[in-house]
Amino acid sequence: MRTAAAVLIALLPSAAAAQWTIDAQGAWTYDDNLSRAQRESDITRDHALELRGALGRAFVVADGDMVLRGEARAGRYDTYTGLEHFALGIGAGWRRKLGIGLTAPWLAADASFFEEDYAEQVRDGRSAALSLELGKRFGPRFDAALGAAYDWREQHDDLATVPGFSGRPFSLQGRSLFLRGNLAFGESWLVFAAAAARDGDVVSSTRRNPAIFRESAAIANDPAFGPDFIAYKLTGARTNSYTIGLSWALRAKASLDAAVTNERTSARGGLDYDGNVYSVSLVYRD
Amino acid sequence: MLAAMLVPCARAADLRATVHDAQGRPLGDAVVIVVPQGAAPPSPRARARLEQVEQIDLEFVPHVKAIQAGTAVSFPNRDGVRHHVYSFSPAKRFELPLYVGTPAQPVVFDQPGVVTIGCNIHDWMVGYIYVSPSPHFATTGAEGTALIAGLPAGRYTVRVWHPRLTSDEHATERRVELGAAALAELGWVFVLKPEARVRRAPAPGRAGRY
Repeated sequence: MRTAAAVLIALLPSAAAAQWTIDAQGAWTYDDNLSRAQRESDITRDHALELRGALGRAFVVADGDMVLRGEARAGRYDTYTGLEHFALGIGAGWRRKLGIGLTAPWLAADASFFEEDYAEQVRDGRSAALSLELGKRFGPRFDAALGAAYDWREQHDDLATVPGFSGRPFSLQGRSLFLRGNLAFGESWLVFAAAAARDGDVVSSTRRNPAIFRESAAIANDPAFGPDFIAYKLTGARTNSYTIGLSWALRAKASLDAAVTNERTSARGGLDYDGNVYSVSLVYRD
Repeated sequence: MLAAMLVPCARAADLRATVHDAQGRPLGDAVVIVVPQGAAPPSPRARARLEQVEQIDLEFVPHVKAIQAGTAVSFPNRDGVRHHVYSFSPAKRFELPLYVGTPAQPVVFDQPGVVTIGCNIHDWMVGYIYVSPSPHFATTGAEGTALIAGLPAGRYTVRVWHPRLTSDEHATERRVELGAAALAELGWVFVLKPEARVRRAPAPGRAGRY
């Protein structure tokens, strides 16, 4: 947390006379498998309010738009208060059109780093993400993009509770390929869809059962869901996710979005699970 | 809004044009062009002027600009971000690569026609420059009217162009004969097509501007 804050503070004064960008979002979400559990008895569900804000400085690099940003995120849950969190981070995004005109393809890259502080210590950690995206607009109404991403997370403390197992189930990494598209209906309405395939580590929370001890790479108590829950990490899992949503333009710089995302994860030993996340978001971008 | 560029004439006439959409609402940004019948179009260079289309709050201002052929237009950027103005229109192809402030050289529009302009950074930015072959033209305001004053008595062809017209502008033509010191009034009602413009509001998964 201190590292991210220090970099952010160093960035902001130098941008005092520069062009600022603002990106803010407030979202209500409902997750019908918050614990990423396989068995119905272990599945938890909850509502959450999530806030995100980013302040950036934009300038031109290599004929593209570069934005350096400081970013904060927070989440508050109705029932599982141990999941409440605050994260502070920095990021850099770059975009460049590969030609002139509405339909010229574009290339974008993004990198971010966060320090994350949760109500329950086991989830405290730092995370980073990298992405590269190639997109194209096919007219005023439709645009699509294809991209690849890498995500990494490290749990701060090794909270080992089972001999022979690491106590860092929330130290994860994965690689993703994704495809997304937006189809606008006039200037107000827009339907968006996305699909992604991620290979890498996942973490689930469940009550103890023999299968997780055979397959998991790390185990720790997870009191966020109850005193008898443990979090376990699975490596080499495939997660396919599909999102569809509707966006309504409130103003030139604001929109109200509703979306549902379905996630299906297949892991070794038949430890598969799936879930849906429903969200309504208010987005402001300037 | 008025663009009648006439030598003062003691026996001049005026033309008031009124434009509405099919729902009866006044239609702004409609260009009304008055072309003298049988007269040769004036030399484009005879009326060299400097006009401007600004970029304010990531939009072209005005959205529709009518000029006479031969007019030079500058594109001052009043925003704190860079713009990259371009046009692929046959009447004028040009590009002003990433800039802030006012580009040193204005762009001369010497061919009559419609020039659609865009910004290569902000896809929703679209504007139109109507390059008129005639010196007599005006653009309707929000109230849907335009006044072309000081027309010499005579016969004219009057037509209207708007970015959302469903037909060619020549389909809107009317013929009118103006007497000395007369006020003629003409009206049009148009069924409009939706504007083909990229949505400006934030789109999911799109943190940038494309």
